[in-house]
Amino acid sequence: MLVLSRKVNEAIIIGDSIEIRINRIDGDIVKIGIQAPREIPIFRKEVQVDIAVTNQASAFPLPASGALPHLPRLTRKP
Amino acid sequence: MKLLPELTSADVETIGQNAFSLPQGIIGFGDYRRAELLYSSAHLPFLWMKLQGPRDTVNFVVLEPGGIVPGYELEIFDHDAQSLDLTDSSEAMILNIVTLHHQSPHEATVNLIGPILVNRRTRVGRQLVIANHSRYSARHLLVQNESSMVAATA
Repeated sequence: MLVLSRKVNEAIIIGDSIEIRINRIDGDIVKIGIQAPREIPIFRKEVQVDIAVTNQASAFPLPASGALPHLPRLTRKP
Repeated sequence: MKLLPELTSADVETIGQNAFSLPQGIIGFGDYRRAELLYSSAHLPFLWMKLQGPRDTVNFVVLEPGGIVPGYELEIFDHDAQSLDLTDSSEAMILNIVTLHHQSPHEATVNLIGPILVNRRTRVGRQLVIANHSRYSARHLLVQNESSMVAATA
């Protein structure tokens, strides 16, 4: 992993179109400004971790009986 | 609450054009790149998604959210649309993964922030983080007490 030291208002460029700037440091909270093309997905890592945890909790091996687990009965709204 | 009957693999039908590929697997299951959708008409709208990995298979319960999750309007990043070669929203099949908790069907939740989108034309899919994820949850309760959609009587 590349590790760089930055001060407030200093920035990092990634590729042709992404700029990451340290806007403010307040105790253990860093405000980071990100400039990137609109099409690039940007989200907090917790969101992805949350999905990974949910995926793990949702996976089940094929039971010997081939049975699906019990499910609630839902009807689709027209 | 009414429960669905047990289902054995003999009851399961495959859906026409039911297989698709997941070049990156799904999040946390990167090696599981081949998916197959199975269903039993009695269990709709739930579908059974089998993911084939290099050594084994994992299974998920998924559903298409239309008509099931009121007000669910997902927006996706252009990058994800491009990587799936989606030119029109009608090409996309949306699958949301269902989590069952403590074997208790009425606690089933559905992941709304990380759906699997499949391009129906190319049969390629990926799990992505939706752009408007802050409006939704990874654990949306499927059976809402006040919901008119759910037949909760035995």
